Amino acid sequence: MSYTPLLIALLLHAEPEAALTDREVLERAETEFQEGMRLRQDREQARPHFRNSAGYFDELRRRGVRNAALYRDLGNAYLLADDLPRALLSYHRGLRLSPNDRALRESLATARERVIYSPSGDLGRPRSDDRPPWLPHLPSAWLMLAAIPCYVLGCVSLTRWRMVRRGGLLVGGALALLLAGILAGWLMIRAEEQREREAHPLVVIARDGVQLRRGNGEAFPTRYETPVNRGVEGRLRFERGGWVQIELSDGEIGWAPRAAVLVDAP
Amino acid sequence: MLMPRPLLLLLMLLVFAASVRGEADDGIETDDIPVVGRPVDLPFSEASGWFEVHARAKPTTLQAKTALTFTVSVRAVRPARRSPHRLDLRELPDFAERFYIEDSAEEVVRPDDRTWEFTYRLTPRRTNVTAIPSLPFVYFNPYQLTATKGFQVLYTDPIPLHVLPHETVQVPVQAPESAFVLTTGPEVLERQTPWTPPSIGTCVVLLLLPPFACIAWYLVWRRVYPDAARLASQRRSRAARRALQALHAARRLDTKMWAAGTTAIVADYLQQRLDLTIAEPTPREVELLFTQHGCSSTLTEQAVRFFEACDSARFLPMSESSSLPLHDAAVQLILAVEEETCPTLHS
Repeated sequence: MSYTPLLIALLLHAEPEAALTDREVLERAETEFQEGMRLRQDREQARPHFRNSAGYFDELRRRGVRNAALYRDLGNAYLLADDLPRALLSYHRGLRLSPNDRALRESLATARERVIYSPSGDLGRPRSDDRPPWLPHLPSAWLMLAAIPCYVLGCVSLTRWRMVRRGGLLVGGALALLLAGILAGWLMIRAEEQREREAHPLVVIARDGVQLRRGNGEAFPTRYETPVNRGVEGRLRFERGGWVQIELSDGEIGWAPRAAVLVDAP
Repeated sequence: MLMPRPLLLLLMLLVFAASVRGEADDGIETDDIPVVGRPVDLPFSEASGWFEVHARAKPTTLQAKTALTFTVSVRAVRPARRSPHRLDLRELPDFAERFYIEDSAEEVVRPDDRTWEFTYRLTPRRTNVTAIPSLPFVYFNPYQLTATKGFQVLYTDPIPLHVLPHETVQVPVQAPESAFVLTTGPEVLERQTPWTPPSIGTCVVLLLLPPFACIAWYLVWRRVYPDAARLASQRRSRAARRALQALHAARRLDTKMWAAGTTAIVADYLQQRLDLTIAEPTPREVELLFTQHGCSSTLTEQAVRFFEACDSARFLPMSESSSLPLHDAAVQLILAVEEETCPTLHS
């Protein structure tokens, strides 16, 4: 199943019309998805079509197409093809581009419900999002676009106050600079989070029953008694010798084979 | 006591005969089966005797990919010298091509002393399997007069089968309805790039540009509007600011009262700025005050002229319109005093 996207990529390049346009690849993806929809009452028949659809969508992603709608379609196709780890990865990628996409957020939450966590200790279960759903995620670009005018307005107001000595200008300028400072601080936190994400990309366990170990090899003892199943998310810390060290949501750290995880590499 | 030799030989013969009879009583004799003459293309059952073979299957109507039980029954017509072994049906292409044949660990069943039953589990590979083919049973018949005809093959009758298509239970794709929604349109092909924070250089430029622009603006403003700049500087003096505000408010009064008010406002200002001790100073006293504080003769003369004008306005008949120059003169005097007494503010 995991080779389907690769297979489609090979087929696309093997075709005489190897230079299929993005539009044509999209049409194929949509056709396969619709066929899967038609056969949705029989998953054994429907899943291959959803897999093919995901393969075509993924081909678009490899070509550099990036947007929330594509990642939503890609995630849905993977989810319907029973490829939960790739579905989770796609939803995460879409949310990075469009943090306010409610459909993506709901799809991610639904996909996470399918992950089988350890019944004893909830190993790897993501932290609950306490953020109110109505509170929008302000895009960083918006923060910057708001901070710059506030800063300019503050400077202008203080300069004008220096000229005419009116108290209102002083108060207004100080408030504008304060707001600009808050927005700039917020922006710095965002930038630091982004840097952290790039340094430690998202990792999704790709198969069931992966034992986290204390070192990068089968000879090392297991880190936890219970294995983690496909769909468990973490962050990549190190990669060495075909093994990756991952950190789960609550700080649990362990090594897993590189082949057993999906890494959100560009 | 020694036994006579003929008697000993007779005893040994009886013991040998008894042992041979014992083996025969087991029903299986161990006489050799010749190697020559065995069929090379069929599996040999290792049986020696005279047999008949039958086969049965249950069920004979079934779905593809489901197993049936195939039983081969071998019955000895005459006492068997060697019992049949279980045949491996996978060695028979007719069976291997039509059926999946399970490894069976079942023991041979013996309904009676003369019968052996072998059970197999067969699963039709396809729906077009119509029968269980004949099973060739190869055995050695020692009762034949010539050994070359001893190996015999019995074929079971084919058993008709009716294989139905495999019924699969259709399980629908389980997912939330939102997962079945496909977003279409040109937006799916957009190439967005995630936001990246500006570089350090850009940040420094963004940080420094507005202040420098404002400083430049301020300097230009001072150059273009020097009076306004001076006025703004003077407003740093709290006394001057209050005096100017009071002058602005006093404009609503009539001429006589306005002149008195203006004089009082300027006098009050001079009390705060130059420590004037007199409530209503005369022009002469004002000249003395400015001289004591080292003010320039121009400023002193300006102050004297202002107070003389105030006295004229207060005590001589004066038109309404003549109040405006007095107001301006008061403002100019206050600004002049501020400029001369606070020179650092104008550097």
